[in-house]
Amino acid sequence: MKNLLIFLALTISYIVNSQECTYTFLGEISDFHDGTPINQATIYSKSLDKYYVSDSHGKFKVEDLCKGILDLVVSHVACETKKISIVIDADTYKSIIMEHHIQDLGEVSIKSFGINKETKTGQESIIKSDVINKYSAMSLGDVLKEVQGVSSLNTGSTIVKPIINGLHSSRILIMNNGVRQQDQEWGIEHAPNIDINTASQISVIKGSGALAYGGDAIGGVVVINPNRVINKDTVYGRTIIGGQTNGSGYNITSTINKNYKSGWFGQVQGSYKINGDFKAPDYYLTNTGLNSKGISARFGKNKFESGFELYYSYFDNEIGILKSAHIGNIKNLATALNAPVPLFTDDLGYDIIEPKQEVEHNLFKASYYKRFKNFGKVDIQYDYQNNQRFEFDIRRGGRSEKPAVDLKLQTHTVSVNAKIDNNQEQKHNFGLLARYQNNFANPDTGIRRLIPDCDKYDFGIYTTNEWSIKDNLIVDSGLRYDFSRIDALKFYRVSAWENQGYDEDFRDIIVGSVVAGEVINDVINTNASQYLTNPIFDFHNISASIGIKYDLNDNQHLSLGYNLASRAPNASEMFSDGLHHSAARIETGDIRIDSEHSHRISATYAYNASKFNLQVESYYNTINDFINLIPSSDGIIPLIRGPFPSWEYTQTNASIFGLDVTTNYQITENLNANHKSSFIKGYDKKADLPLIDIPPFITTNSISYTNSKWHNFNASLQSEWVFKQNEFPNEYNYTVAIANEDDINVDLSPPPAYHLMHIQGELTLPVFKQSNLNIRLSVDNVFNTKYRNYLNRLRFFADEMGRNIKLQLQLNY
Amino acid sequence: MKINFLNFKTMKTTKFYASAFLGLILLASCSSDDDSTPAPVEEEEAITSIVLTFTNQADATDTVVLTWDDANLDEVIDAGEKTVTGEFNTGEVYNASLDLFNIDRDFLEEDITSEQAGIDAHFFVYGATSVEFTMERADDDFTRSDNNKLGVNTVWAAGTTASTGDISIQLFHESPSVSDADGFGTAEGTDTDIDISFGVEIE
Repeated sequence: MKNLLIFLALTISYIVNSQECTYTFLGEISDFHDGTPINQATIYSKSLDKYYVSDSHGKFKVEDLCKGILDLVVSHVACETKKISIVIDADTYKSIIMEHHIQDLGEVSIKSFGINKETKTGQESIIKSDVINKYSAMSLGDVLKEVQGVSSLNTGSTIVKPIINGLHSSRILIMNNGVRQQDQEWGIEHAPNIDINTASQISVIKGSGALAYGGDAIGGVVVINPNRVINKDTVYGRTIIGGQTNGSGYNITSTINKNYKSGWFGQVQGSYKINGDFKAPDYYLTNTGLNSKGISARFGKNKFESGFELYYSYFDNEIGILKSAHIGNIKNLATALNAPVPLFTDDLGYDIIEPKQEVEHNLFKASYYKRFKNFGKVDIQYDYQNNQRFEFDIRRGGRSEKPAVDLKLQTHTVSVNAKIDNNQEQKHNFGLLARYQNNFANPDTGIRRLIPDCDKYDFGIYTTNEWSIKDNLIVDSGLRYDFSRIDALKFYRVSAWENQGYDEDFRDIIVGSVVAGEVINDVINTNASQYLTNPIFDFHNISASIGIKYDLNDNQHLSLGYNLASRAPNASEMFSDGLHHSAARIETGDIRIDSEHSHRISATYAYNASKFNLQVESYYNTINDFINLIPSSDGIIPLIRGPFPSWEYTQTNASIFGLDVTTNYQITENLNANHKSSFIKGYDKKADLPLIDIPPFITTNSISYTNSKWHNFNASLQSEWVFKQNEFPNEYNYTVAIANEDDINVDLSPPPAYHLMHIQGELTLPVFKQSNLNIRLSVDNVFNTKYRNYLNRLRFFADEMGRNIKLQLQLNY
Repeated sequence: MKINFLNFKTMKTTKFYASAFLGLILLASCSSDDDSTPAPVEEEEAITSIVLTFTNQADATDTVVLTWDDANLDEVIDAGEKTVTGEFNTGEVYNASLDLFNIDRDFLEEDITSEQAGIDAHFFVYGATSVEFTMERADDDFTRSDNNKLGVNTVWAAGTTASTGDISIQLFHESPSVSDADGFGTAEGTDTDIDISFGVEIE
């Protein structure tokens, strides 16, 4: 009020002395989010060549103005610089609104050194684009292993599924540019269908703390983001060309961006990758070729107050599966296990024959956001995914051309999210999600469906909140409810139906009988070979999280967290019934299986100083009703193909705990040492046995030399030491009794420890104007060490890849 | 503590939420109306029945028939599905011929022997444990491109002492190498389509 009086007084006095250049402009700067005045903002007038500073009320005054247009540039340390033009034909007042906390814009934040974390208190690690670029020729699962505590479950070298703190598949949630990836991740040999070259930043959040993405991420969340949009008139791009000796592979990827100051942007990206048969130190890994293609395009408008984006990506992978891994029965597995050299070791070159996978993934997304004054930001999004999976097996009579598995999964999702950030101390986020998914299993395969035709409906509602209680204390929390309905149409062989005891419990879900290859609806026929059933199951799940982060001082912080996550069973856990060829076992799901619930507590200590960094992450995850695939009491079943062990999905209570440590030490200006190690244990508490497929202790240590004067020269030497997993459920080994012959022992226990050395060197040369060329040469497995990896499902059949020399050229322009 | 996250300042925002929420509810309530019956799949390549018929070269009425018939089509060799009729006589020589079926379809003919590629991709291996037999592959057997005989038509000579034991049949698919040198056959390979044995008697 006082200011207004002064303003009025001044105005009057100027009117009295009315001349040509006597006008006054009064500006008042306030924050977009909560309307508070912005103090100490700098205002520059080019025509007057004068600077002004706003006062504690956010006000400033420009005097002695002539008629005309006044151009001002308003800037503030934590704001986006703003240009305004005012027509001056009288004394003028204008309210100027500035965006005060730029880090929430998805722009580069000053506080966090260009890194945008998804959580405030969670165990989160970020992989930046320079690291991702190194993995241009590899897969998502490979790059994620950069994070301590992340390992992978492989099928050969090219099918790589991430394991976060011992958990994988449906227990990991992957967000691909804001879209939850839906690509039949339940399958143990189904790797994420994501082109690593579309990613610019990847966040790995251990545990289920990121509730806005889902409540069922018992293992963790992977958030893949494309590069940020810059509001600048510019064109830029990147091309990577690589080649490698092992598998005679080569790859190319290119991205071009066009951005405008007005906020419009567009991006086109494409990748192509091919390799032939890989080679273990002593022999070729026949039929391990890969052929991968990806394209993506983005376009939209990114303004502060509103914006939209359209995104489309296509990814196609044709992956050969080691020929020697195609086996018949459990006796064949024993033969393969005892063979010094795999059965097939010829080099097919780039040819990919059966068994192989061909997977296509299409993703389309449309999103829109708007910011509301004194409120926050509202996002609305629709996305559609189409995942087509073909698996080809060695068949007969020309049927090898025909897929043995032909599944199409289509997913539609609509989501709304509101972020309320008008109060810097308390931020609230809430949202809703509805999803419809349809799985279609094509019957033309001539092989019984792996997964039945199925509709799935999901509805989720959540809130996440963040409080900055003190400067050094942040608390965040979240609560989420999910509803899922599975509505399937599944055929059961009558013998399996009865064997499972379903004839007692689920008689009412039978909707037809198969007699002589035809379905008779609404009948339970005693001569039926199969029943058609319509299981409909609803799941209601609650998940929650709470975490605190306390800065002990400028160098140290401590975080504590508790996450409750609940996951409904997936289609495989409920409906599997049949042979899993590559595992040489019969796998049986159970429709009685209910949701599993995880209680995860975690504690993190971090020390960050200029020369030394240390991060220690510990966790204890108790999973009640843990869905586990274990050998069933049926033992070994004599099939016409030979004896097969029977495995079944059951629920138990599990506990998984561990420790992930990272340290980095800057020895001298040029020399840096890095250490990472992960220790993990997992137990089935009901059976009192170790869990299967838990990563062994692993430690990687590297030393690197960097000299920025020599064209950013960098060379590093890395040691990767993987211990033997000494806790294996030996009860899972088989003894197969053969009539009138010796028993066959099938020993599936873990392979010995191994140690690998890797080296790499790189240079960045300036080429043309504003362009540079990065040249990278690396050698993986320098000593051509022969080893087998416990977490590779093909370890029973062949050694891992031997030495691989890679050359990669990256042109940034 | 100030909690103002439900304090929607403008009517516009409220309307926006309301319409977005309504949209979601509508989408969520769309039920599947395509309840069309999916087609059942019977395993095209499953062998559902095996018949190995032995006929005495000297006496066509002296036969031994080993049969497995997967009545419930579950691919499991259930206890009641195997039958053995007849016994071998000591010192006699038998011609054996094999038949395979996928329900009513002649699997052996259609999927294996109709094309040379099918013959080349397969090999039968027999075994006799605790019963004395020598065997060879018959002249009218199918011959693979590597000159090994497939093992569909075989000749079995029973030993001179009475015994009981097992005869086993294995079918190997795409074996890297096979040999019919000892009649019974050996195959290097890890992909078997048949692995079954029958209890028999020589008297």
